[in-house]
Amino acid sequence: MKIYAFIIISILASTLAFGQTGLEPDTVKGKFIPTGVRIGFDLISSGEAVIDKGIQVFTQGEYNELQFSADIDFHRYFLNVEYGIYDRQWTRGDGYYINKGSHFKIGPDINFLHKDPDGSALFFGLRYSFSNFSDEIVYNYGNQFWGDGANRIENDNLKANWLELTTGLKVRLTKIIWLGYTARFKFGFSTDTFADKALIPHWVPGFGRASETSAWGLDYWLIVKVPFKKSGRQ
Amino acid sequence: MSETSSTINLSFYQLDLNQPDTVFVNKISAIGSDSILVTNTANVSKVSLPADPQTGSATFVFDIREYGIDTLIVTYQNGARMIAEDCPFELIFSDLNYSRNDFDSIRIVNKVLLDAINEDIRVYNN
Repeated sequence: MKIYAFIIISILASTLAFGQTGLEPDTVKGKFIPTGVRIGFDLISSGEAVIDKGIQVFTQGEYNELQFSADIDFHRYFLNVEYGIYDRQWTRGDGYYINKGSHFKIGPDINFLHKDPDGSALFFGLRYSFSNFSDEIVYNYGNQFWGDGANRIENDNLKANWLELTTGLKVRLTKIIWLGYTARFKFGFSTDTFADKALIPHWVPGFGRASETSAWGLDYWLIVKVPFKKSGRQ
Repeated sequence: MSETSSTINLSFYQLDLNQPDTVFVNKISAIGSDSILVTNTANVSKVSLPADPQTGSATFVFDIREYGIDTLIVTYQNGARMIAEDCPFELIFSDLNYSRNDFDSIRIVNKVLLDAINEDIRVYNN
């Protein structure tokens, strides 16, 4: 049901956007030449970490997450790549769990505001996403028969992949500074991926809880656009 | 909420009839522990054997009045996971098997130790 709701909302949003752009004939000659590359930094993921753990997230904190994006335009289409790093430790009385890794996402967006004179974008897109990560658990246990003890289990070189439907906005503030958000529905992840592991991962960087088959996500981007020379368009 | 268990549930069966059996247990003990699991108890049909969280195997010695002394070595994968941010870590004993047994027959009927399952191993004797 989540995926259907997401698709319906996205189609409604794109329909409204079409209504604003008009239906007059268009020529695309020369419009597939990119006007520049936009590089974004996600304020939410780093902001969550700061709220949770303070400014130490940028040094040696227990929670460190950063996400970057880049897109290049081809007329009404964008090619997007996203990269993120994740490093978090959960500590509690009976031990700790560490999860660290990175994710990479690539996919197209279609812009339904491509005639906007400022170059703002209302987009709908798709991502193929994958993550490489490792995790480790150290825990204490109490056993009435065998006595108390501690164990350490780790996984190296774990891999996961999934798909995402995306929608969002990118709005120009100045010639090079933009703000935008990306809402995403993540799906296609199998919870059986790590079922045979002695340590079953709690988290998949870029996706979320490894016990879920789907997840929602929201990124709020601070974007810098690097325009290409000899481009007459925004 | 954890649903896993650290206890291996073993049931006694009659080999000829393939029916549950009751035995008189002189003693059941585990190698590596001074504690005795069961001693001088009649009409025993099931016993609970503790899995060792530190190792991937445990050895139990059964002294049964009707069948004599038998040794059972069980093996399992010793695992753990974090269920949620506010829950204790969960220990998981999976891939239950045996590497030695002196019973007439043995059958693993459940591979992952769970609270909801009350039979993991069947041992058969004549």
